[in-house]
This record gives sequence, C-alpha cells and structure tokens, in this order.
Amino acid sequence: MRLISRRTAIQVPASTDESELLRRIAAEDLGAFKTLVDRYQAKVLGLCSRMLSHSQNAEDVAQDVFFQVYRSSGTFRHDCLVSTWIYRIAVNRCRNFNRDNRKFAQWEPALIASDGDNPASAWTLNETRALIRKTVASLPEKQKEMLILNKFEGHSYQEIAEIMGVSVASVESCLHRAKLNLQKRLAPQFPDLCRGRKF
Amino acid sequence: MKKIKSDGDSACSFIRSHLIAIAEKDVPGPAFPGVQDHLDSCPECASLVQQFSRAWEDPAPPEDATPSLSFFPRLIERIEAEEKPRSGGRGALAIAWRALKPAAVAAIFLGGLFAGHELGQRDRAILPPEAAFSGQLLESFENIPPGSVADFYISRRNSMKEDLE
Repeated sequence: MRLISRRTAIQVPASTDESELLRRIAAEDLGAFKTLVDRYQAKVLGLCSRMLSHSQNAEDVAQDVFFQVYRSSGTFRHDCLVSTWIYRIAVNRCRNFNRDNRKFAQWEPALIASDGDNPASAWTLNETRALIRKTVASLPEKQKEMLILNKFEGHSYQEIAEIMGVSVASVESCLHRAKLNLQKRLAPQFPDLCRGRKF
Repeated sequence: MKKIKSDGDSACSFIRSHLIAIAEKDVPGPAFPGVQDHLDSCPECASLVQQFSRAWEDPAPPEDATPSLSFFPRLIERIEAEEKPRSGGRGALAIAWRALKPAAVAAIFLGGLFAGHELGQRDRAILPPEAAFSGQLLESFENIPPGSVADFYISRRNSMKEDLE
C-alpha cells in the first residue's frame, strides 16, 4: 500500500452507497474512508463507550475498529450490510478489550438516592440513565452486548442476530434473560418508598 | 417479562422490582389494574415510574460519546505509521533482498548438499571395525617370525596342501 499522504483526498458525496465506499477504500481512497468514518464514528464510539468496562478507552477502541475497517475493506465479502460488518468488528473489539482488561475492570457502585423524605425526587433523569447504564454494564457479557445493541443502539433482533452471528430466537431469549437480570439488579438500587402498603 | 404476582408484596417494592416491565407496559393483565391504582395513589412511585420510563425509553448517549476533533487525523497518523515500515520495506534493500532471495536459498541448499556429501565421504574413509580387524590380521600374517609356532603351523599346512596336489 502506498502512503496516505501521497494520496489525494477527493470529496465523496455523502449519499454514496456504502459497498461502493468500501470498494473505494480498498483502492486506498482517503476521501471515501473519511466519509465512512464521519458516518459511523459517533455510533461506533457510543457503542464502545457503553460496552467497555473502561469507557475512557472508547476512543482508542473505536480507532482500532476503523483501522481494521480500513485494512479489511478489500476482504469484505458484501454478504451483509456494511453497517452490520462495522458493528460486528466493534462488538468483537470491545469483547477482546474487556477480556484482556478483565483484571482491571472495576464496577462502580450505582448512585443511591439519599433524600429520605422524597427519594424518588432525588433521582434526576440523568442519574436514572446513569444508573441504568451502570447496571447494564454489570450484566454478563453476552446479555450486556445484546441489550446495548437493542435498547441503546436501536437495532432490531434480526440485525443483532447478524451482528452477533446467532439466530433470532437466541437473541430473543438472551434479551429476555437480560431484562429479567437487569430488573433484578436494578430493584435494590431504588429505595422502598412505602413498605407495607398492599395492592 | 415474567408473570407478576402482587400478593404479599408491598406495593412499592413490587413497583421497583418491575420497573422495566412497567416501563415497557409489559405488566400482565391481572396485575395491571393494581399497579395503576397504586401509581394513582402513591406520588413517589408515580414519579419513580415516570422518571424510569423516560430514562428507559430514551437512554441518552454517554457524555463522552462525541468523537474528538482529532479522531480522524489520529486515525490517519496511525495508518501511516503502520504503513511506513511496509513501504520502507520496498526500498533498495528490500528489492535487492527480493531479487537475491532465490539465489540465497539455492546457495544454502547446494551448500548443504555439498557438506552432506563431504561428510559422507569422510565417514566412508573410516573403516568399519571388522575391516580394521581383518587388515591387522593380514598384516600380522606377513610378519610371522621364522621358527615360531605359527611359522611351523603354516609351513606344515602348506606342505600338506602340496602333498594333496
């Protein structure tokens, strides 16, 4: 491969088909690569920061993802959507990173509302979101990945099945377990507001 | 979600342990009216459910999920850094090595063959123990001292052979 600096970055229309973009990237077209990165960097970074046990490494892992996209663009078989392929790379990278850094992973305890008089009011929307994110992060790896892809990234069961390389039924059952598990872990985080009152 | 049993549970603890089901409106029919009644009568639970439902429906991206401005330049730098050693490998040295590689391999192969042949020859020059023994024996026959027992035995045997002939 030639050095990138020797290449000319030609502006690529944003509407360019992604398969075509990949073909151009394989031919070392920097403009096409920039278009693809612009299109996916926020999504990939968001996915990485949710999936990693150390979210401060999200940008580095996202860089790894696009680096691999660049290097493997020539070997893409065009048997799935480019987005699916990129997400698959991202999920695998995050999984590898978490596995390699498992020793140093730290689970930060969730915030506990402290206002005794009106505990629910102590929870702002952002705190609740943060609590959900942290609790999701504590789930088993596969459940966490599927829940993030479905709930946070908005992928359908079919898309998740393609990204993870499993059946749709497996995605459904894993997501069901993930929600039950999440529910179980979330419950103790909220104070019992009026114990003893029955339906 | 699993079937919700409300009997015996405190209403609030039931609500907090089924927040996702309530947020997704996945509460089974029989439990739903009870949940609804409790939410109407308990502002704390109603607030919690409302807050949780909003958070669950729209889990905002983490604050640090916005890529930095240097994201793409850093990526390009990294790709260039990875490619430099490869493109450097295409220098004169690499081209020379590529051209000379078959000759070098052939030379090593021929050298090995030659060395093997030489070693084989050297091994052949060294006589096996039985050959060395027979050589020494023949030599000792040639130097038999006259008048010795061996000389007597040999001369006698030779005369017997002559008689037979």
